[in-house]
Amino acid sequence: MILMRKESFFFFFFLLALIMTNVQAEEKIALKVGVEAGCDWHGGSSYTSFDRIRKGSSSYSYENGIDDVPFVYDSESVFLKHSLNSWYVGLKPEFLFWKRLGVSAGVRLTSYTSTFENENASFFYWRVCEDGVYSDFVRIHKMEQQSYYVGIPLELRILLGGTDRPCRVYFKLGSVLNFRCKTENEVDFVASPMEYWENDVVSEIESPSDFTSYIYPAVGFRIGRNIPLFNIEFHFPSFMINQASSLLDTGVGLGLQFSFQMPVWTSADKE
Amino acid sequence: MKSRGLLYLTILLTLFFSSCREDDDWDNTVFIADDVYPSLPAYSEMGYNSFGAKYGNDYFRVASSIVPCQIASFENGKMRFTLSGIHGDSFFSDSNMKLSFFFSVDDFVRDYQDLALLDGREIDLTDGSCQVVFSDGDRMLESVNVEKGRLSFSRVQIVSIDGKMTTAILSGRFELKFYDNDVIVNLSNGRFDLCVDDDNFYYKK
Repeated sequence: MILMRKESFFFFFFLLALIMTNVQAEEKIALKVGVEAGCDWHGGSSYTSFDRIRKGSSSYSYENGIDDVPFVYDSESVFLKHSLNSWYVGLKPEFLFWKRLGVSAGVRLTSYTSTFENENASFFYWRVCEDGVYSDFVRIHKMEQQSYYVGIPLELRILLGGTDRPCRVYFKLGSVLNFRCKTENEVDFVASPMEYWENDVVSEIESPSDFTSYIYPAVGFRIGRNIPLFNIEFHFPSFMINQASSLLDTGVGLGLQFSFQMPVWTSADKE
Repeated sequence: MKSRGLLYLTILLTLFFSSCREDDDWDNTVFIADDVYPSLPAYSEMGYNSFGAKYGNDYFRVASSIVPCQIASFENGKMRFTLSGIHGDSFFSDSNMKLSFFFSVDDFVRDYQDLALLDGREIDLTDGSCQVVFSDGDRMLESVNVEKGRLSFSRVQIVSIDGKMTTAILSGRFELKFYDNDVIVNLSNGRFDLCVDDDNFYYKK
């Protein structure tokens, strides 16, 4: 493991040295201010099986000789469909060293939306109340959670190709440190009078993590030589640390980011 | 040309309807395997319309093609609780099996909502007032001589869905030991989680 880290460091500095050697003639630092917007999608599995959800019949199996009985393989499974989508906007200054190595940090506002619905039917049953021998269930189309985070993106990118090219490929390693500002939960009932129970259902849903982070390697293209510069990049795979949704356990994600940059300052050439 | 258009339309409609999601019918059986006995449903109280028991070295359990439970209530305060399913461990050797328990409730049960009085009740099947009727495939035993047995209604729930009273959920356990021509028949680790409504409850005057 330590050997691997040493190798990675060596490789990184070797790459840096290579870039510096190639661009000695045009050494300079440039500051660019950019606005960014993007979206991410994360798949996932049920975060917790809510005890109040009645498991639905879904898959049919003849395993164990059970004649045509819908068989729930895993007692934790609720056969629910779930996904986490996010979009964000941000302001991100970037220092570009020797026209190839970019380091950026800024501020980003992210909205995460996660939905929770039955995979095989248009609703699922939720037990809202138990009073002696009486039990009340409601039918729910879907539950949706929306959380807003303010974050600090930290990105490192290496631009390839000649500086005079109109389109340059770059590789990036990015991360964002997010702090939760607000969370809203919404329940879509089949019968609208059942909205009376919305607060009771919502009270069963925990809040997502106050602090989340995710890391994303990316490949992208910088388009343009003059003002403004346009960047488009693809994030895959992105890994989330802590959960931005309390409805599901997110896995690997992918994303897309656009940004516009305006050069605001350039250091004097050393030559 | 016209018939080709009709063909495309049929294919499109078939694709559309086959992709539509079915509604989650409350009456469907949902079999959630037990951790210890994976061939039996786990004990539950959600109305999964499921039951099962160890039947010797085999199993007696629910089958979705058979209504799993029927309850008949009689004017004399007696009640018949019937479990219908299959006996067998492989898909090709299943045979239909039925187990009926007759017992007294000392009260009028005219409607499935009155089943609430069974909540927490345990019935000793060796009691003289109880009777067990058993059928397995073509064999039927009108009244078995119960050596040991109990039927326990751990929880009864009267269920409303979206504010409308819909069904009763009967959850509990059972075990039974009796002699069939000097051969011991043993049903153990029985558990049920069944829905009863107007379709499978009837009151007989």
